[in-house]
Amino acid sequence: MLINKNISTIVYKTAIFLLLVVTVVIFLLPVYWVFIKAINGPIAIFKYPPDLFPKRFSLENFRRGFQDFDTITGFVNTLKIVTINIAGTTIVSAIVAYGFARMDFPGRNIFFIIVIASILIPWDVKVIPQFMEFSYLGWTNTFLPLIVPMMFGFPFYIFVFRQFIIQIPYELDEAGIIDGCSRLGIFFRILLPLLKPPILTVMVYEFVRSWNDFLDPLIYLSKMSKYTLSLTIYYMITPFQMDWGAVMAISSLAVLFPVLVFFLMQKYLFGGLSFSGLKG
Amino acid sequence: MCYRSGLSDKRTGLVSRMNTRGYNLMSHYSIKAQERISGYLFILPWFLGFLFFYSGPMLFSFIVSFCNWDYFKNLTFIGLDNYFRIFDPAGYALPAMGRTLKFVFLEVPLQLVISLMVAMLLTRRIPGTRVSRTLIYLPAVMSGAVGGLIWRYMFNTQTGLFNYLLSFINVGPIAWIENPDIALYSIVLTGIWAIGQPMILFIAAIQGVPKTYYEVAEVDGASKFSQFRHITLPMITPTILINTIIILILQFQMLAPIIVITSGGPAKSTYLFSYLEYENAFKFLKMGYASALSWFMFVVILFLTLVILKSSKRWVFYQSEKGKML
Repeated sequence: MLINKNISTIVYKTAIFLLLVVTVVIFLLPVYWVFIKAINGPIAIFKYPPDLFPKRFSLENFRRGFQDFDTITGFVNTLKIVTINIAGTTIVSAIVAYGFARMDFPGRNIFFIIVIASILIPWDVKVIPQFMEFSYLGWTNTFLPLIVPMMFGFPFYIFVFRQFIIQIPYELDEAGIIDGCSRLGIFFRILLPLLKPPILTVMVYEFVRSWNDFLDPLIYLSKMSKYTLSLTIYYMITPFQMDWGAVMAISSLAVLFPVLVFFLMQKYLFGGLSFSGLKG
Repeated sequence: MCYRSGLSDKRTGLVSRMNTRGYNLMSHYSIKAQERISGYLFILPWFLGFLFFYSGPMLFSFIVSFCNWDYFKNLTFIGLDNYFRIFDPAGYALPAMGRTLKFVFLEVPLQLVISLMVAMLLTRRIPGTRVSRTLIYLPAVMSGAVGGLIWRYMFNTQTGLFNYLLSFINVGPIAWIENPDIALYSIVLTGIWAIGQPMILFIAAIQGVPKTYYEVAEVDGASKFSQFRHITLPMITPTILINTIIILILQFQMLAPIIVITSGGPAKSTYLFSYLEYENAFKFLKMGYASALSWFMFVVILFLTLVILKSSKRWVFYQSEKGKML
């Protein structure tokens, strides 16, 4: 009886494990295909039947990707935007969140509801008004439209920080007040060191968001010297020229960085969402 | 909130008893006023951003939606004409909205069900779930350009991966993105790979269900399915609600795959509302009409979100008052 139960448990667990493996394989298919096609050389791009596993190794796609297109500029531009955005939006979002979590002022709850509501404003709805504003300011073909709005805090990050700060005991702030520390001093000296988990969560999110941003650069940047990595890759396929090999090679690099960040930071990434209070 | 205000009473009491040196600059204000002013100062960056980049421009676009405006030239007031044009039965806007609604009503349930199923799988007690969680999330970190191009490449009718895999079971070849009857469904299909975010929220919710509930059910001899139906499902309804709203809004604004994979074709079969908006604003530079389109879309999304929120009172189960966030 007991042995029977054990056997059925083992069979059940094995079946579930196989199901898990199949699911992972299906979901990894697009990412796997990028990497395989990147290192297989240009001949394999439209070979039929395609090789499901790499049969040859060639860096020719990478050579084309870097020589025929201004990929280096794309990388440098993307890195500039990503670095500034991560630094700026993380600190400003945290400061704003401190105000929402710890200060008592009239209208605080209404303002916070507006923050949450503005997370939900669709991109399509805000992009046309923003485009009119930024073109009026002469910001097209600069990185300003991709950077400046982030410097005022990003609603979702404010939300994540605020949810974390309200769980920190208020006694810590009181200790600072007793010692005569200003509010900003309390934030920087007492709270900031405790905010490591949400800071890392927000940094990872912002890295992935600005690294992958495609639609905003597409709208604001039309000079080749200003292209971000996403745009460089996108413009490798035009009606006049289609270099799928270069697309695969550079895409594999473009995907590699977020993938690495994801694996190194998965604890903070997934932990961040559970402490954001969204878990219901 | 009650808990918070209790704290702040205690705090003001404390602060007023202490002679705070930190407030020298504002010492002629009362403690409460100081607290208010510094509170407003802390949220000032967000408020300015909201003014300059959200509400201000959106208000301006609302005004522009009543005008004819060819990208900074010939601004003329034309009343409701842009909105009449949206509702013109012979125009592009209504069919595009119809297609978008069809797309959204296919994609939202599909993403909800699949992300929940995957989350259930990833919360079983078997080895490899942690690394699988990250691996399944990965397709969602590809940029719109990269992701779109990969799908376009795999959808290739002659040499694409999908038709090659289907040839093993003697199906196809299917003209994934060249056949107007199929193209929209192919775009729907790509959405399944982007379930990382809702999946993570579902995992957190499922792990938050107290283990004792299942132990009791086990003792009573409840099957795995009825445990899911009567314990897991009711307990995670708040997350189902949040995910439904987030996915709905994301799918309405789904644009990058259309730009990269199909450009609205073939035969306008994937010409969604967001793409109509994009073309009018950034290709034809019809800012007035595009503004009207974006406001129309906003109203449709708002309406559907409110309907879902309203209906949630019937099917969402909250354990405590504290859970009622939205």
